[in-house]
Amino acid sequence: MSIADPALAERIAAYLKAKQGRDVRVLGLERIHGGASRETWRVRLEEGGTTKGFILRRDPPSSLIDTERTVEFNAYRAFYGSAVPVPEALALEQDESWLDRPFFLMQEIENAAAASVLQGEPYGAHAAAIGTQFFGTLGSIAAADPAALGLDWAAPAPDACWSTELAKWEKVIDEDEREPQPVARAAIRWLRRNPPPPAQKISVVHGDYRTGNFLFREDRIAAVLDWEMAHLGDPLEDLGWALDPLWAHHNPDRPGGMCSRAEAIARWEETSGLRADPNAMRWWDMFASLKGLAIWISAAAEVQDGSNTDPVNAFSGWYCHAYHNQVIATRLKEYAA
Amino acid sequence: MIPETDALLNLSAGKLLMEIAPAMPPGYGQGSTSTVAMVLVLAAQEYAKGADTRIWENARMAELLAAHGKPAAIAAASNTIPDLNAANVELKKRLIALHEAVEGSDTPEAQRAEADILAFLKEASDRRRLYLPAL
Repeated sequence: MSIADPALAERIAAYLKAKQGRDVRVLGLERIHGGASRETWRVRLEEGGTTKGFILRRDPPSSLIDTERTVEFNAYRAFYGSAVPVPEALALEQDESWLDRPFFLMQEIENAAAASVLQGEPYGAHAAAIGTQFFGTLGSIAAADPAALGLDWAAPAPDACWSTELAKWEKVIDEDEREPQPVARAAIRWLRRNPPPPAQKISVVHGDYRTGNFLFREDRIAAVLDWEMAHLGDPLEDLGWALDPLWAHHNPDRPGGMCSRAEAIARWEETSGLRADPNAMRWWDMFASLKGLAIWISAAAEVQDGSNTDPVNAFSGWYCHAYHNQVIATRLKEYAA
Repeated sequence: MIPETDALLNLSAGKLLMEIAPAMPPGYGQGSTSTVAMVLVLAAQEYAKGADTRIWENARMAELLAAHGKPAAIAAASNTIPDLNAANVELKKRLIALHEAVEGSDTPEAQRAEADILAFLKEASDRRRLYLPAL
């Protein structure tokens, strides 16, 4: 691995020396391609004759979504060592003087890969095994007790989970739309007119639990990543997002490119101890696609305004926006029939 | 005669995706190059159908508004994409207002208007949909 940014490498070494008293030498530093909500760097260090790998997650100059780095860091801390595999979070730094922007460091999960939603068959012969773990792990997140995990985030009332989330994402659309969005507006009104049942329990919601946001080796999930949108709420929110057709690798009959919807829900119900009521899922499915639309509207705005022109934003603000518009418009027409 | 613009965009995307990106070291640069290639694939589709999509949408929205009592004298100054977009924005604002007004009403006229609007949104989103090659 080369050192893509020698000045940044020196500053990382200086930070570890000053904050943790460690004498390290940066052997490699490369930026990882992926989401636009954080810059992610792979760091290879030599310390006392041993080589170690770390991941540096740094705030970008402008973020796709206003996510809270402390939330993500604390989520990793909370689940480390549990049934939910996550990397060890090592240090959180809010002082911008060290690396220009806040950041945190975590353990690198080596020899594991994340799937791209553009791949047709990312899991190959291991799709069913990965699906069992993927939806089972999501059930474990739903089953966990936030207080026992030490997560003191604001908890909505069970009957206010849906309206809290809907208001959050409607605000994103209000602020970021650069042209009228008739499909998004129709979906928001439908969601408000057809509320779901109250949450069965208040759970940790990962917020972006989907194919592409976990690492796997062959038939095993090695780590669940990208917790920056984590919050407390209705666990069906995560299930609807994970089942969204955008993440189906071109095959809507196989959510996440792994298994059938019925198998996914059965596994989730088994490990969560909760029920995915079909009427509730109809709401959370629609909400998931609206939330996606809001994210893509933000991505397009970032590009249009020039505040974050990462190609991922250009792609998602165009392709994913058109995709979710079609999903939502199709559902609205079906539900009205 | 040089190839059509969409063909050039697709050729460029293919070069980036199949030759240039694989020759780069793995990481942000390689990934971003591949993503740029995908954006070119989308641009090729938009080149081919962008004007047609907008002309159809604008005409259909004007028809809907007129048919349901909200005629709007909005016409694009030309068939360039920016002019079509400007008219599209104004028509969409009026369509959203009409949709809000008729939604939930149980009069036959309102129900017809809602059904027409939902059918339009479905067809418009079908026409705007973009496609990617499976990798």
